[in-house]
This record gives sequence, C-alpha cells and structure tokens, in this order.
Amino acid sequence: MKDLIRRWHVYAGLMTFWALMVFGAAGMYVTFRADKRLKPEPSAVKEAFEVPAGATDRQVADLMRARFGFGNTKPVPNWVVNRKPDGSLVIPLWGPNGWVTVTWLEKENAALVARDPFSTGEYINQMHSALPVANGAPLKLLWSVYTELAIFTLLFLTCSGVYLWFTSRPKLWWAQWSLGLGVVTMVAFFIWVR
Amino acid sequence: MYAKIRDLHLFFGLLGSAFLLIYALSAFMMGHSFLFKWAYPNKPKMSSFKLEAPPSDPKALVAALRAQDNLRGDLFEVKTTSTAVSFFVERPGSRFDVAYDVMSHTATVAARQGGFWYSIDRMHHTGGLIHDEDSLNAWGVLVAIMSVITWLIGLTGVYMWFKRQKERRVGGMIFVATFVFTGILLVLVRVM
Repeated sequence: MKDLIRRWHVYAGLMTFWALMVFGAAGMYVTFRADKRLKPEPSAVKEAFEVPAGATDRQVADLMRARFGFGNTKPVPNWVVNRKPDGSLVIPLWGPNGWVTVTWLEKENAALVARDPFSTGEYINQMHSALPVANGAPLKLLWSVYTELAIFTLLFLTCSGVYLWFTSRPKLWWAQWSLGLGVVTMVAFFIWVR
Repeated sequence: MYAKIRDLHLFFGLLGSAFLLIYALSAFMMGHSFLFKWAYPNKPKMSSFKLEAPPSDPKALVAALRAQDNLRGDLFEVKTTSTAVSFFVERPGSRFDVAYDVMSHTATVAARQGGFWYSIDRMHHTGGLIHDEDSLNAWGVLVAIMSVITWLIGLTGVYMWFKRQKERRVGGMIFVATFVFTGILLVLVRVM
C-alpha cells in the first residue's frame, strides 16, 4: 500500500510540477506587484464600431468581444449585459492578456475602448487562477483543465506526503517540528488576519 | 546527496503542507463556487454610529470613521460628495460598507462576515506588501516564503525521482509530456 501511494505521489508530483512552478511564480509576482488601487484608469479611445441593425444587447456584447477583446477573452456573462441608468451599454471584457472596457456609442457607430493590457507577471497570475469556463477560448480551456487537475493532485500530494512521512520516519524530531510549525503558522495567521 | 535532498523535500513538504492544503481547498472552492453558495455572506449586519467631532478633511474623516468602529483592513473606493462619504474596508473574511451622512454626522455600516470557507477564499486572494494593515502585509511575506518553498518542494522532488531507477521511464514520459503541454499552451495563450 505504501509503495503504491509513494509511486502515485511521484507521478502526481511530476504531473503537477509545472503547475507548482506557475503557482509559485504567481505568488512571487503578487508579493511585489504595485498597489492596484493606485493604478490610473486607462484612457478610452474612440474607435469605429458598426453593429447590424436590430442587434440585441447580447449580440452587441459578443461583437465587442470579437472586435476589441485581447486574445482568449472570456465569454461575456449574461448578468453583465444590461444598460446603465443613463441607458448606455458598457461591457467589460476580461482575459488573461488584459482587461478592456467598451462603451457603445450607438448613434455614432463607434465605441469608447479603454484597454489595460497585462504584463507577463500579471498574465502568469491570471493563468494560475484560470478556471474551466463553458464556451471559453479552446486554448485557455485546455490550460484550465490542467490547473483543475493540479488542484486535485495537490490535495493528494499534500495528504500522501504526510502519510508517507508518518509511515516511514515518524520519529524524526525536525520533521515533527516542521509540520507543527507549518500548522501553527497557518492557524495563527487565520486568527490574526480575519 | 540523495539523502540530503530527500530530507529537504521532507522538511519543506511538511512545513508547507498546511499552507498548500488550505490553498488547494480554497482553489477547489473558487473553481466550484456553485457548491459553496452557502459560504458567501450575502445578508449584511447593519449598524450605525454618530461621529461627535468629525474632521473636515476627507482622509481624516475616513480614518476617524474606521477608528470609531475598529474597521480593520484595506480601504477601497472612497467617494466624497458635499452630503455624503462612502467607502468599504475589506480583510479576509470580512467586508464593511460605510455610508456617512455629512449633515447628521451618522455612519451606517453594512458588515458581511463569513466563516472558515469564505475566509480561506479571501486569504487566497490576499497577497503583497501594500496593505493598510500590518497583519495583511505579514501574510504577504508568508505567501512569498511559501511560494519559494513550493518551488523547492517541486525541484527536490524532481531530483529524487530522477535518481530513482524504478519510476524513471513512466515518470519521464509524464514530466516531458506535461512540460511540452504547459509550455506550448502558456506561449500560445499569451501570443494569440
């Protein structure tokens, strides 16, 4: 049994290795990222945007995504497709490569487009949190299936790793201390930050 | 050398296990939020208080409002008009929306506080060293340390696998296949 779990621990670790490298990179990037609250809003540019007559707001949002979205932009969710109190249609487009806010200028056959492209660090951060989305861009969907699998294997790796230690060298004092320190640290922070 | 690397893998693995477990659980929660709708605090608890000697400076006013009700956390979206000031304060597990009426000097606070699952979700979203709160900056330091530990666990693990003859073939196929798969996808999603 222990041999089987050890073998699967090794295979799961090898499969998840690249995801762990990305997760660690995302953690380091977020640590040194500038305060998002201080980031100025990107300036909007007017661009031509023609919409077929009779198009619904839903169809307009999809056209905006196709026309203005960065690569692999997420499908626009329905709850976002509604008019502001002033009657304008403003659609946020999000993807791992950047954020775009599009305001439809219906009478002018144009749109105000504010683009916020992501740096490579922010791209890695976005990819580390990519979730499988229905109708999502195919490449990003493939990646997010991998990260979804990585979550389950990480759960397995953590539990199997502790099990393997406990069934082989449980009396190692420094191993006991490292596990204890890790657990106490998490509990202490959980209480402190809440 | 193998024994030393194995001990390092064990040391870092056990040290990081609680953190990685919490992060994996919170990631599972985020990816399957439909299973955890009950964990997100939707109904706020309302309270109000009066500020006796409100400062006129908006920054000082916000600081006074926060101090009055001990609203710890990061400050967001401060909006000021001639009759009202509003903002929200957030820390893992809690969010406080404050609306202050300038005429009556009264603040209304809508407090949303979640339990374990909501808190670990928000802790997972919290990082960096730019917070208004010391505890959150300390958490940011821990995230950085654990990110390095995650790398070290992976690298020592790969070294150990490579040194073992038994799993080298199947392990090699898995390792190379995932490297090619992830490498290609990361590049293509970025450039396309």
